[in-house]
Amino acid sequence: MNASGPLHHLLRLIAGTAESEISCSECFRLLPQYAELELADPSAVVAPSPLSQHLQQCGVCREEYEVLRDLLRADAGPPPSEPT
Amino acid sequence: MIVAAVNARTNAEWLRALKSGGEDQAVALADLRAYLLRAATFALERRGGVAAPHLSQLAEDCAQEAVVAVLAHLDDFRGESRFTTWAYVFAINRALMAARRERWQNVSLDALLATSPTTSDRAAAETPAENPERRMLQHELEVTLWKGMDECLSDRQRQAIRAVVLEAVPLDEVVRHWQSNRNAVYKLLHDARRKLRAYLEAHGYSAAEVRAVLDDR
Repeated sequence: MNASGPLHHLLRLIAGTAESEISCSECFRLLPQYAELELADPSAVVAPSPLSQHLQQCGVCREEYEVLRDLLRADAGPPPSEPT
Repeated sequence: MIVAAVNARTNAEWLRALKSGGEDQAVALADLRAYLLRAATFALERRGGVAAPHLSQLAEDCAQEAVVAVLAHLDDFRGESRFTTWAYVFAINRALMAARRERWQNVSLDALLATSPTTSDRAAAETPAENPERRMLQHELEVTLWKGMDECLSDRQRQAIRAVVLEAVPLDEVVRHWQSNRNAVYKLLHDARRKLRAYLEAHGYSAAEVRAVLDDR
């Protein structure tokens, strides 16, 4: 929920609405590749895409994506420590 | 938690083993189940709010459901990611759905979904800005939005917007209550947002203007 209230959250979702949006099923299909890509190169998923747009609009799909991303990070192990 | 002593496989080796029958298949199934149990447990621990004694059993159930789902969808795997990443999504999906169900099982959605937002809901949904001028601009935008909801949306669309967006009910719970599916309810919400976007545009609020009034940078 946005800090400025549910109505403003709704307004932001409306402002971010696209004429055509992918379905939750299509999101489910694209999620594994997207999460791996982000893990390998975060800059590769910066550009807006139908999937990132869906993740902004759909809370349950976004939650699944965030858990998958965190699980892949855990699988990959800790990030290398900063050189001293 | 670590997936211990499972065999590393290429995507092709996973598919071959899971479809092979015999000992190779049994070993691959055990390995798959270990991966999915890890994913379900991770999801429940991270997001579920499920009590510890119950978590293990719930994770086991979700992993088992996910194994069945993965096997049923093997032919849908296109090799666009690692097989295990693709399979993880099934377990995470089952685990988060189960966690949401547990969290919302004692909440009645009947009253929420049977009515439209009331005047008190409308007042409660607003959080005024501190700046008086911005507060006025936001109030005008909010009034226009409420009018749009009254004039443009079907009862079903209003109920979905109210539940999922204004009351933060998980989409899955609305799906379950209506005995529908995610795609259908998401489309209902998308159609509602498109109508409201068109209504706001017709009343002078482009997407950029909406963001400006909300003071989004």
